[in-house]
Amino acid sequence: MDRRQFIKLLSLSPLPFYNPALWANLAEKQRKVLVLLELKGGNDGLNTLVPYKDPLYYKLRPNIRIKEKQVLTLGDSRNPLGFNPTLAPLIPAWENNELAILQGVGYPKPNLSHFRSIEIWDTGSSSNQYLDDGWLTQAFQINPPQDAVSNGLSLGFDTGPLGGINSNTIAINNPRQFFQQARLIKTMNYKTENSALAHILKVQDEIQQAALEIRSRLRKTKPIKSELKFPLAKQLNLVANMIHAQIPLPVIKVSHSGFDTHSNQLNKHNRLLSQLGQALAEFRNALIQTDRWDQVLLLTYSEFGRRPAENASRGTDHGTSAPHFVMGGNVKGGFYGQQPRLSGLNYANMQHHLDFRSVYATVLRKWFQQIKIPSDLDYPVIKFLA
Amino acid sequence: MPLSFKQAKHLLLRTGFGGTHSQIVSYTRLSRLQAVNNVLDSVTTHTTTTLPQWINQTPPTRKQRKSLSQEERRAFRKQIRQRALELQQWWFREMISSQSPFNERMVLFWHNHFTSSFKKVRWPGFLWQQHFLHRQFALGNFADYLHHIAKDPAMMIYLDSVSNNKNRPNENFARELLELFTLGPGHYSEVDIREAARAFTGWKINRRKGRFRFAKRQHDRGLKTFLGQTGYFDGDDIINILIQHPRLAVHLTEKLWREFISPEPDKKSVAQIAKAFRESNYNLRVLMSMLFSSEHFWDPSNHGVLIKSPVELMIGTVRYLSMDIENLRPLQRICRRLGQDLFNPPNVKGWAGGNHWISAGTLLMRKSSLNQMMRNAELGHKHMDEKNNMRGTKPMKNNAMQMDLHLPTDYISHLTSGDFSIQTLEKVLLALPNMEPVKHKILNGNTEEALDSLTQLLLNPIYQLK
Repeated sequence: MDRRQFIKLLSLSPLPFYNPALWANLAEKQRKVLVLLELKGGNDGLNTLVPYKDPLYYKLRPNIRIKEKQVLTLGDSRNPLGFNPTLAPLIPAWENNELAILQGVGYPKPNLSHFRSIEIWDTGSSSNQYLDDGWLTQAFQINPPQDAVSNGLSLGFDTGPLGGINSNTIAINNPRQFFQQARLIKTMNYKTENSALAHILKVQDEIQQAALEIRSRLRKTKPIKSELKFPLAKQLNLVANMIHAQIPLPVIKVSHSGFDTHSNQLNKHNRLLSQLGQALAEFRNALIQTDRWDQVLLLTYSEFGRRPAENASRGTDHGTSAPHFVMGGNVKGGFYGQQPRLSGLNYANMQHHLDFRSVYATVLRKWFQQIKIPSDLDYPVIKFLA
Repeated sequence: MPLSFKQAKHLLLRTGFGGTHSQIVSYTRLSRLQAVNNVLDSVTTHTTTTLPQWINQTPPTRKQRKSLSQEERRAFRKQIRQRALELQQWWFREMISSQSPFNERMVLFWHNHFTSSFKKVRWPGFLWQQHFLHRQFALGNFADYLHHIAKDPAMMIYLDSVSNNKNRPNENFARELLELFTLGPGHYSEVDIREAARAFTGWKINRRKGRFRFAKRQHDRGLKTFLGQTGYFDGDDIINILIQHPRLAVHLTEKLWREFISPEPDKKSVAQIAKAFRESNYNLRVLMSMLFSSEHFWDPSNHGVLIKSPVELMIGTVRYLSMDIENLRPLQRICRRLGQDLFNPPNVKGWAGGNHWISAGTLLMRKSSLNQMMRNAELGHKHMDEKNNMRGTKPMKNNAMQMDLHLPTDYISHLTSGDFSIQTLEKVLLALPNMEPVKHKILNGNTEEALDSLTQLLLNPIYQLK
């Protein structure tokens, strides 16, 4: 909104939470941010992190393999794993020990349906449980974030881990649209016994506060520019700018789509990974330059991996466990978990070795320093945070 | 005693998608009893929108599917996705044009009770078959309905009845039958589910004909104990036992109460109504009549306490404004993003509804969709276009929200004819009195002002309520 409308709004109704002095103080605070990066569709882990010395890999994927000499080796000879070459931009983070690779992440009795499996990941449930709130919504119900505008922000309407009726997450497609939309709301101080109306007014109020806060902070800071043009890069650029502007949001979610590669996978998947690598590298550089890298923890996730054996369409069907990345200034880089075996599988799916809920438990306990966490997420912590 | 304007508005909002000023006025000539009967009488299986021509086509056999090439398989998948969209569009059109909005509300309720989803069922023809069952039994006999829906092909695919065999029972249908469709949690045990699943073994469908068939050899003919009764039960027997259970009527009454009356059913009234429902031999018309005759339904403190679902919000607005929509895709997309993708409930529990419809994201989207609707409509006026450009606002980009909506000129002239004040519009559109009283103003001749006032009302938080 422009200055004229903003002042008009202020005069119409007092905004109880907008206290310029208070927000100014909060700006000084070192605020931890979790960035969630959803790889939509089920990322093929085997072509992301390639077991390039395993003959079974080549046997199972005669047409869609990554050739051994193209693989970017990462581990030592005891752990012969390497990156898909398109992930080259991630090597600096790896060499600087800021990239943790979690191997074989999954859960028992895996569900191979997109919508059901992502629901399991989003809500932190087990395979036969049906929870309504996202795992972060649950955690923030127990430990409400201090001095934050809301639980988090989702770029894209799918709030995932931040979703649920108890969530006050804001979902937006782009900020300009968001501010246009938020302009349509007038805050009201209105007491009512009608719980439906009260709920709507409460949500309205939260949106209004968030919009004002984000807008004003973004305006005050020098924008970080991006060289890349594809959606993931644009999303991460916006996130970098928000973090730079110290906008008080504990969690921001972005997503990268297209991973459901049932057919003709190779080029498609390589392109997606190439974008992933470039966008993450640019994001990391931006945060290092603005001295915010230590405040950030970025985590990838996906509804499942893909089947080790290729299918008849030069693609892969839905799988189970897969590797995921954790990046940030405070991350202890390296390999965690265990690479799933390819032997004895036939056409079946890989075993998981790290339960995804351990990842969540680590984030809640070690990053957000929460003492009491949702009981469904009470899993052993992984040591990727100092 | 005839209905007041408020009561007539409330009735039309709760039993349909809301009414126009004249529709509400026409109901004020009726007594409560007459009005309720009028609504109930409007239920029909007859639909006016032309069905897609593929609707009765039978699906390909497994042999036929296996013989398809890669390309053909992809084309086939694309075709069924397209058909699913067309089926959804058909229903949107029917809801928009229906002379019986209550009919559509009941069908929406049953779609959300006996759930099945395109994502799993995959053959749109089967979804249509089930949908028609909802129309047939909307206000019919629930016991018959239950028997029919249990053998409905879409339902059997959705809840894996077709994979329930003597040696490898699948409990999915039995579980949801007890937990969601009939008794509700806490009124049966895990053993009951297992035993019921055994009774349902051997239930198959003939996919070519889209019909139930019984595979005797897959059926477990042994003795079963279900809800305290023992016998060599088959699926029909299980359903008959459930129909005898007093909890069934209570479960349904509570659910319909939450849909049509308030979020917290009154225990005593529910018990009374459920008993009468059961004694009427599960006549749904009797049940709905009792609900709409109940003092709780008419109680002013229960006005405006329910949240409109995305479909109710969007369809209601389109109907009120008598909008003519050529391309339904934007509307379909909006409802899906707001959380209600018809024929695709998120899971077997269906859409939770109530406060779940409103979060920061969805509230913003609801308002901006309504705003967009009005702006699209306004842009039909040349002078509005010029005005916008003069103010320096960007012209409407071709984005996902843009709808080819045309506000009919007679609506606008009707709005600005001098008979209407903003207060009248408020009384028609809002379920509750406005929170901030607006200055009295007659909308006379000034189209821009009239449309602006209308837009403000659509953006009022109370407009989200029914």
